[in-house]
Amino acid sequence: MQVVPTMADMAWLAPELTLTVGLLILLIGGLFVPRDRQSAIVWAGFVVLGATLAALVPQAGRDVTIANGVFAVDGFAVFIKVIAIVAAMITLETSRHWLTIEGVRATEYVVLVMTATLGMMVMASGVDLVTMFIGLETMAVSFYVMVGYLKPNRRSNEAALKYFVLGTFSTGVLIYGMAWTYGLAGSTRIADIAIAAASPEGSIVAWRFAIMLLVAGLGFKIAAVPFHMWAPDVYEGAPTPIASFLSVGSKAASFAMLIRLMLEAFPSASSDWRSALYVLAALSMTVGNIAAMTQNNLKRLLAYSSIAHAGYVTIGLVAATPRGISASLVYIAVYACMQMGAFAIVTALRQKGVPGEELHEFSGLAHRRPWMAFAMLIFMIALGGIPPTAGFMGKMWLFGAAIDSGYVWLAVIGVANSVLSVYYYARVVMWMWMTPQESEAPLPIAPSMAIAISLAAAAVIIGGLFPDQLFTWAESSARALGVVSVAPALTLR
Amino acid sequence: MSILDAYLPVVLFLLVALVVTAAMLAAAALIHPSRQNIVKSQAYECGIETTTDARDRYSVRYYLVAMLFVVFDVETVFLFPWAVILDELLLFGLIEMGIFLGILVIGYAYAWRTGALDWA
Repeated sequence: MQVVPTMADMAWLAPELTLTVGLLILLIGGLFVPRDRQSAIVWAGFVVLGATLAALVPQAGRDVTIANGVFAVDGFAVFIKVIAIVAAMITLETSRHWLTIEGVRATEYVVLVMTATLGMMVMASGVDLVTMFIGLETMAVSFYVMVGYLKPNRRSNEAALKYFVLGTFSTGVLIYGMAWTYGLAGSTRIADIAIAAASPEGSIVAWRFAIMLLVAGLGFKIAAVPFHMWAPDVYEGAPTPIASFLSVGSKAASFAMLIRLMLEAFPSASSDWRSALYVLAALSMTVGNIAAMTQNNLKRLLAYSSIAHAGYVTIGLVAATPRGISASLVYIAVYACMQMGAFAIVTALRQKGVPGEELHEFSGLAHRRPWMAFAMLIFMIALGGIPPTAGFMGKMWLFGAAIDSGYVWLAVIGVANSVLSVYYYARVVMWMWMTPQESEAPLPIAPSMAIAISLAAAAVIIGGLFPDQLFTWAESSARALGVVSVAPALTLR
Repeated sequence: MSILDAYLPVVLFLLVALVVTAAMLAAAALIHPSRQNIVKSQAYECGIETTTDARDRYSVRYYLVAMLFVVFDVETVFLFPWAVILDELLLFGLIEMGIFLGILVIGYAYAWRTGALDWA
């Protein structure tokens, strides 16, 4: 076996290497930046992430597996990586003003956002259980620290501890599933696992057990019911920009891992994991939406809504057709825009001495900051799936894919849930327009924040009016997965 | 034969170990004479008189230093197998270990500069 990587391998790793070298330089360089010049570090991080994005460009449309078959550079990976990197860039831009309000150091913050992004990139590209696991842990450990970044804040500490304890437990479940898979297949490579699973030796029950452990472990990371209990508490206690990054980046990368594992490693067991994911999707949508109705804290509300959205995305994987997978990818991208936009507004409301998280703090926002309220309106109707936003187009595709594959009832559950969800999104809008202004305090908005919010809102509208480009891109990305279609439901025999 | 079958001896070994341990504990519980005194119940491991309760609060710095120690301990664990096969890895192995140690040194420099090593 060849152990020495070639120069060609290294060239394919250019985005990851750029990010790694950049964050190491930033870690040391940041120590020599004076406290009042912290903004420079955020800029440097932004530039490195931009360079990483640029290094991804030549990889578009390619499909190779490098480093002894553990790392794939394909359209699917590139799609997820773009979402992760853009999410990280938005996180940094929305954090700029927030960092000075909270009075915390920028260096570690920026570097941790970057290490988490690096983990997501490895997760998106991993075609080997060990590679995937290392990516997942790089991301998770960064998030454990970031969630508890506000050291004097008790809620932040509580959130970090909860996330750490539950996160390591779920990692244990996941790695146990990986151990069983390795024991049964005799390899950690996804291509080899698929071959072994196609003609399983030994107990079928053991194979099913392994798959269920993997689904449960990743179900925690995507916050799908019944593995969702941590999400509201963690999002509420975590710094707002981090909650936003956690709900978008972490979820996108974990979905990438779940989709790749199910489609490429276990296509021969599709009916087994499809029925499991069916239940997960139906429960996530219903529980998430119903629980969100009673929330008065915006961060908790968005946490429950993100649980519901994990359910919507899962529908595409249950359908398991090229159309279903591309619908999932589209919806992950659309969800990233609307969720990060909504969280950015919550971050913008945070001022000295004002938490800006409770629903009543949004009262009269339409008069205080009309364009901000308007942007929030766009994000809310997009999350609720109302045209002419990208949220509507994404959902239409998802439900269409489900019906195509014969999962009519799952589509019905999804539509019913979309209707339910409009109630609590409309509640936020009602507070902004129909209640008298509670606070006369000025609401300064940093220019970078205004740009980030405007871009997210524009993306949501443009994606709704001209969705063709995004759909085409997602379709070609979904086709990059080795398995084109597993539509006929297969059971392990 | 499934790959899991190869692990059967391990399972058997585990069972034997459990049975032997349980048997020895049970035998000791049944036949041992019980004559307690103060000397017997004192600590013996390091030969040092017990001063305080072991369940005491440590300075939080202790954990920081302990963490750094563990990091470099694990580094040594990686160095040993690497040294054994260095004659096969040649220049590539040398460069790779250089990168690995380089990243660790950056972490060390960071810890030093942020004052993680000052005990005060």
